[in-house]
Amino acid sequence: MAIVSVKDVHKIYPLGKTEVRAVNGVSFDITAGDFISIAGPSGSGKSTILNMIGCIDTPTSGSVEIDGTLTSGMKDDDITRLRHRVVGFIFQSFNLVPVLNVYENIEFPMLLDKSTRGTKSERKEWIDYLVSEVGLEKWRDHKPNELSGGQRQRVAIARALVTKPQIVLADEPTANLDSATGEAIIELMKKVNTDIGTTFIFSTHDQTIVDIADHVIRLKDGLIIKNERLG
Amino acid sequence: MENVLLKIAVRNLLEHKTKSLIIGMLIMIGITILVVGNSFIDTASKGIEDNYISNYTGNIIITSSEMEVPSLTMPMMSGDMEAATPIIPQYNEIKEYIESLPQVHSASEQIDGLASIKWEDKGEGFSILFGVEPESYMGSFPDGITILEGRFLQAGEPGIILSKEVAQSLSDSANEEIKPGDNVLITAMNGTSGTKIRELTIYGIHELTGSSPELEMVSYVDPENMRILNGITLNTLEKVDLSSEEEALMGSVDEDDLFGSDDDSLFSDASNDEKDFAIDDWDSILGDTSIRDFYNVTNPDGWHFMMVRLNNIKDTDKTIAKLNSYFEEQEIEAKAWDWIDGAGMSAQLANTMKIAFNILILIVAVVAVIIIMNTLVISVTERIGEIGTMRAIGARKGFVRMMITWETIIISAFFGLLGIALGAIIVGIMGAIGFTATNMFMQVLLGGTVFRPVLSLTAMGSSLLVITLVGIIASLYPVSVALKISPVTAMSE
Repeated sequence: MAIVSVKDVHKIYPLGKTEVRAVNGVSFDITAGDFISIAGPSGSGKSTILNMIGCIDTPTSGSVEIDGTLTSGMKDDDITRLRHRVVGFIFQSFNLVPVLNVYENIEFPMLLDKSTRGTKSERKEWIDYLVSEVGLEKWRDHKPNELSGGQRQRVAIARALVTKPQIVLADEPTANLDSATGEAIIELMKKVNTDIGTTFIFSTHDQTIVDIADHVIRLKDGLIIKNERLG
Repeated sequence: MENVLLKIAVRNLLEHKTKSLIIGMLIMIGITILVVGNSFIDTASKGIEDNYISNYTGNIIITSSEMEVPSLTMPMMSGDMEAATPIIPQYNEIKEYIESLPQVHSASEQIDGLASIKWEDKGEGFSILFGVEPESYMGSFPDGITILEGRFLQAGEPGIILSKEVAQSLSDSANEEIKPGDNVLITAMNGTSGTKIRELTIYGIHELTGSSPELEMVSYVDPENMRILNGITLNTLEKVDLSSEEEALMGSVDEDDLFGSDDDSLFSDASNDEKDFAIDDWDSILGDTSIRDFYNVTNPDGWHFMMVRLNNIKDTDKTIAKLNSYFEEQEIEAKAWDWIDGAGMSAQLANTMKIAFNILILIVAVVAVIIIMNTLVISVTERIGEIGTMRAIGARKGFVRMMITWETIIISAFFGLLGIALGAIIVGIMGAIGFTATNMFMQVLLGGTVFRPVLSLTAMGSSLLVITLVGIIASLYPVSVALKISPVTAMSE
């Protein structure tokens, strides 16, 4: 079953008096539980597609359906709620809230909506589990600036998973990490994908991620040049 | 969610200490100025208000509607200097109505004048004169006068109570101390009745309660003599309409025709014509003078001002409106004024100072808003990635709005309270020390010779209100900037 359905999506950005065509008519489906890589060189449109799947950007034309919901024309509050319910984000630069510690950063998305808030003890139990899964038990009270890049990305992974989303979007998640840490992070994500069945969608030009993915979409100049299922 | 908002807000403020401190210090200094300034002004205003209302003006002043300025201490300022000061029309009707109002404590009347005072051939001076009915005046202002020597006038008793300063000035010019029991000649002039002179006995020397320079020259005279000095007679009640012929005749008479002729035969005839001239001859020439005599009788209901004291100062505006609408309905040409309009320059200067201070507060508030707003905008733009990330992972616009608002609230409340505490300490110290007004300007400004500012709840409340408004207004633009941050910016960070 397709958790994401992208149909003939175009994205055009105005740039002064000219236009930049970031995505030029792209269509594909992503099945729930996929570990999928959207690969391509810089400027190929992979981040733009990721933004549209993540409901933080909208297509100029075409449609994006997430979990059966058409994202175009939704009100800000509704699309924010959809994003919160269905999508988790892992960013290239980790993007943790600097004033919150590891535990609080992971807890943060849970507090944003009544549906995910639960009780304090329920939250603690689940966050403790995630903290142990990402191996940060000793660091739970530390602020992001006291952590290494790899540790920060582990926090970001736990944060992305805390609301139990169906999809986790990861934009170049290993770009700011050394190769060993990058591989460890990928392995961690793969483990979560296998254990929980969360759909992972990466934008990357890291071949290690591409190799581990079971579905690869290759882009060039805003067009799909290859869409292959490997698994 | 409030917990996490509060946590983020507090930690963000602590994280950006320098910025928080700049905004905080600005708020604190602003609030301190507000508390101290408001306490100063409130204390001065309260002092002036208490002095004036309970000692001299009452809460409301009633005059003829012809009066342009109901100035109790500057009678010549009350209208046309050439014309006599207008008296209150339909006085008895007004008095009856006023006394029927439940909010009215008491009402008393006054006739104003300015006169030169001559003490035999010994000394001269001048004084502002208040003609009052002793019983009703003392009933309205029981603590307004302190008798230093002698006593106050009694009902129906002709005489004068000199102010300490007027007595001093007469004594100085005479090189002899003037005392109760001495007689003085009062000379008053006004545009309609000409010069009037009365000899009055001094019954006492007084000092007005509450220090105000313009009140130092006020002496009290019985109302009958004040009416004579002011030409308030029954004929002043009647307006004489002249026909056009009469007006033409008045205009055509040249004084030279009457007195300027070289022909002095009239006087030479008189000097040559030695005839006995008895009073009876005059009477026979004048004929019946009863109408003239009647019109030369003073008008017992002739008063320039009626000062009304209320049971509660808060009823002032409401009562003024009620009185003025009553005058309008009854077609009475009278007007009710606020006490401040009739008070002297002290009260008006204090009022002006209050307005000036409020303008200053407004300027300070605008500057504070701009600085706080700019600093918050910088803070928001520095956190575009953070806010974008929050939006991306599910924070709604309301969350972002509350986050920025909480930061403003916390910093405003914390430093605002510090400012109030600092202001309270400063006011407390100043109140304990007290200021001695060394010159007239300061006395006028501070409403007395010794000034002890008191921290007022109004000052604290209005300061809190100002800082709340400053906080809210200052956060509007930064919040709008924050709300425009798209979640997509998180990706580009």
